[in-house]
Amino acid sequence: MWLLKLAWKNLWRNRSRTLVTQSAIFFAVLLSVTTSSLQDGVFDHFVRNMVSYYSGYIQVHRAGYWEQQTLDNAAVRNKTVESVIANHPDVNALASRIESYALASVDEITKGCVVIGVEPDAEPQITQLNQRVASGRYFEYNDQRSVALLSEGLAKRLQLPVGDTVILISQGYHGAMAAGKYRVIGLVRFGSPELNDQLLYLPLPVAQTFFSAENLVTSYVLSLATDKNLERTAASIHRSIGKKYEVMTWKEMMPEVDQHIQTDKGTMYIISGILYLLIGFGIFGTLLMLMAERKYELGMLVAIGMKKQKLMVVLLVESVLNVVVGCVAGMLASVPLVWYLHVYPIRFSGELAEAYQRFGFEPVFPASTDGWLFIVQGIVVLAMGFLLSLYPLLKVWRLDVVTAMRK
Amino acid sequence: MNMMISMAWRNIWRNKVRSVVIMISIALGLVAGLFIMGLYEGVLNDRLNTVIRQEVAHLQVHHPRFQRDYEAVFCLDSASRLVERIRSLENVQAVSARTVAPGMLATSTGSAGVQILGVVPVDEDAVSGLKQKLIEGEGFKANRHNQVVIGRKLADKVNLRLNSKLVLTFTDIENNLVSAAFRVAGVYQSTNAPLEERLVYLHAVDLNRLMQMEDACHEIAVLLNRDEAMTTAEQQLNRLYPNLLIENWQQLSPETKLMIETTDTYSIIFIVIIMLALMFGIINTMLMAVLERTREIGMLVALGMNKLRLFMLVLWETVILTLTGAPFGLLLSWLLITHLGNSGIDISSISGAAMSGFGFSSLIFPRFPWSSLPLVLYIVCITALLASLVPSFKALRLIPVEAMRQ
Amino acid sequence: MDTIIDAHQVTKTYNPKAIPVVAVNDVHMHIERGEFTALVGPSGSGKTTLLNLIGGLDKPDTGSIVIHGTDITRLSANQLIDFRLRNIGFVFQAFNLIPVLSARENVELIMQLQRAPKAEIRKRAAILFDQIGLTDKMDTRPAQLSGGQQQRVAVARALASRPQVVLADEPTANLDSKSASNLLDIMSKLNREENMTFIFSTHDQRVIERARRVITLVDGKIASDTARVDTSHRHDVQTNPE
Repeated sequence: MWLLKLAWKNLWRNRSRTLVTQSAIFFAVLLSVTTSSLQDGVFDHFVRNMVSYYSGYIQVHRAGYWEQQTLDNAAVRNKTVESVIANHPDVNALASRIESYALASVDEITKGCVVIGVEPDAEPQITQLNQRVASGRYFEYNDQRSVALLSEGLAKRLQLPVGDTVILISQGYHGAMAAGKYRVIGLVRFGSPELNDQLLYLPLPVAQTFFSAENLVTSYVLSLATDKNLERTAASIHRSIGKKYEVMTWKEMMPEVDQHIQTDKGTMYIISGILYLLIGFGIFGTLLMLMAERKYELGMLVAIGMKKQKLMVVLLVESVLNVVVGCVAGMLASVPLVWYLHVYPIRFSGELAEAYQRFGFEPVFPASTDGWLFIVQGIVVLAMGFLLSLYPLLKVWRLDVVTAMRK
Repeated sequence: MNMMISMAWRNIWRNKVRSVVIMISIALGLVAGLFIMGLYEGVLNDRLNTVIRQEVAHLQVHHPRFQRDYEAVFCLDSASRLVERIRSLENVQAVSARTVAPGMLATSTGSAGVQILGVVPVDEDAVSGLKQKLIEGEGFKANRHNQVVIGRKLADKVNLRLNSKLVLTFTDIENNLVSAAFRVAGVYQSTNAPLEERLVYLHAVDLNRLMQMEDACHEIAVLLNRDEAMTTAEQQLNRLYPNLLIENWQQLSPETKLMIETTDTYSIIFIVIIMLALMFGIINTMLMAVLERTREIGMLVALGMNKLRLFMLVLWETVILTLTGAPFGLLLSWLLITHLGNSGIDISSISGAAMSGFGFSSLIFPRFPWSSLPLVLYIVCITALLASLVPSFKALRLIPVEAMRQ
Repeated sequence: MDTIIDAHQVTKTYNPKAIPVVAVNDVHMHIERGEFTALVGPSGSGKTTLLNLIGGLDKPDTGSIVIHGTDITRLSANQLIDFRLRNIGFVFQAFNLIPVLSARENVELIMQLQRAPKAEIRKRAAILFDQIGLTDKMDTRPAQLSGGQQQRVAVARALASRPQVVLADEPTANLDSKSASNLLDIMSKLNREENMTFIFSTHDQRVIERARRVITLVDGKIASDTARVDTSHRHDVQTNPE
């Protein structure tokens, strides 16, 4: 007990020294939390952007649809399955789609396009389709009219202004002949030329009628609260709806995006490693000077008869107190900082911001507020602090009283 | 001034371990900055190479209205002469003329919208490496008609295999609908899934005949031998063909440009964070050094050393540490990056993710970021100087009588 | 005669942990050029505080201290630093020298701070080292010098700037008697040869015997102030004006 008291008194006796040591730990925690929260946040944001473009986080199809994306592999709408999916705790929103190819023609011009039948009210919850309308209007609630939204590029290629009519020709369900006339009520803009040049949206029931696919959907598109539990959510949905369906995550649907993210995550790990190294050196430098400064004092304590083991315990207690206080303070201080970076994310400007906006992305690097992050980073620095605290112990072990007291 | 510098220099060697720790920190900071830049330059270079050498090439030439309307009629006439002229330009490595037709692909089981490219196989191999991308079949063979090369994703989707038959429907130059049967001569795989699903290759001779086009094409892809030559080549083409639309890869693949710039921007953010870590390391270590010398500093003030000089004394010490640490860091970065640039870093082993066979390499080859070297050096030096301000101010705030009582 | 120090009603109270301690209590002191004065008294009698006040390292709560015509209690912190540099020479009890500088550099530092011309600095340093008898140790680092030698270098450094007064706080406290006597010899020689005013605090009887004026402090007040007759001295000794 008296050892603890001595350690406590030592800490208070030289406050600026204690403050410097604790601040080394404090800033280490602050920086590593901020870094990892930014890293996580950037990926979260990127994934959210990517999936809100088109695919959603998870899609549910009839088993086999993904391999052969034809209407013949569409699923019959099933209210029970839909409510099971929608009621899954991690699922934010669910939208049904029917999707196939068609030729769109206006007068002499004919172009291939992708026809997507969407639920006008559910779709924006996943892809913000209503916010992509560049001219004209979005569908009405429960729209049953023969109206279409065209991607801007496609409209340009067809030389089709809002208000005109487009004729669609395709092959429907089971080879049925599909043909229809639709009035263009709006144009939607996508930053990616791939999508911008070929998408054509119809209200779901209208598309089903066009494809002679009443009550059929090719995919259920899901949005999640977070990307964290992606695989787990997909697996648990799959279990509850059975083998008649396939449940695919965005990673399976867009493996190339996942590859890019994996590569970037790898580089992020390297960056974190470098950060820890620098933080470690910072803490070590502080401890080193601390011991240089206290050499005389420690030598004196040994000289007057304090056992080295006891002295080491005192120093250990001091270190533990310093590290813990610095860590806890750092974790507490990083909460408002990260929160701030989450609410007011780092916003960039210039060419990059313009490019982001063209793609319909917000030009920001938000921070992730995942609670685990604080704990994990706190523990990493804590461990590093404890490990480095062995240095003062080693120094005491090797302490030579005579040289120590010769100032 | 001389005395200040020499005192600062000798102060550095009072506690060698401390100085070495700071120097290593500075060196590490520099290594960190350069390494991150180098890492990203490697990643981007890899992606850029994929985009340029497998997808869009450096430059593409079109009829100004073609890409908007995709009308067969907006073609480039006297294509062979045009291609030969472009091929003879400086820095041009390979040129491929493509006839482009959007159309429908149909099999007995399904259909898909596709982009049909009519190419001269040898030229296309040279520009986008079509031959290297084949995973099934041997591609176009001479003296055979109506061969098609399709992507693996498309093949899976519509259930096609090597030698399967398929029907392509598209419009010819007079806007008549044309259908013709083809046989799959090869299946290719690329890193770009959406393209793999959409692009199908025909022999230019077949496509041109069906589209009623003589010596014409829609697109000329130009691969240069150096990335740096792009702007010059672009200007040159613009001068030669003011009536044609010349676009570079940045315009053709805005996503790639977006990705590159995103990476550039956030690498700067992380460099700033790393520099903050470096700064706190220096501040703390130097602060401790000042605290250790409290008595001595008190004596210097008592003897009449004024604040500016005292401030400079601590500042000089940090400056010298920085100047010693920086070249060491530079050398270390160069060695590290050059070494890893040759052997590559296996990202999959670091992130624990399995890199599946999508033609992706999990190896990153960092490149020494010569272009960002001044920026990184500048950031590190500013960081070290800023860091030295805190202990310098701390030294100023010491009161001589109290300092000496210790 | 030339007045060097004129202190009036000087009081200084320290307040550590809420119990006020009067370190210097209503002290009057008058010192003329060329005096060789010992400040004596038991521990805690206020010797160091008084020296610090005279040297401008600390400010009195009340009273004035006029050094060669300048009331230093009215100077700002920056002016004080410059004043000390030009008018006061210090010799401290121990750890007097900057460890990273050689003996010569320690002495030259003060002159360099005063921006004296280089040639003059060299000349003055050489003379001073000759006077303290350490010419052969000029380029030695303090760690390689004995305690006595270090204090001699400190005295040389104090004199380097040709100050009005040299203040020495227990300069012999850490020295053996031979070194102490040697240091005193040098101080008194410099006092004579350069007509330099010295005030030094001490409680070493043998050192006190060498002083020509002894001021005794008890509880921060001057208890006695006596002039001693030194037969070897050529000058008249000023008696206390009181």
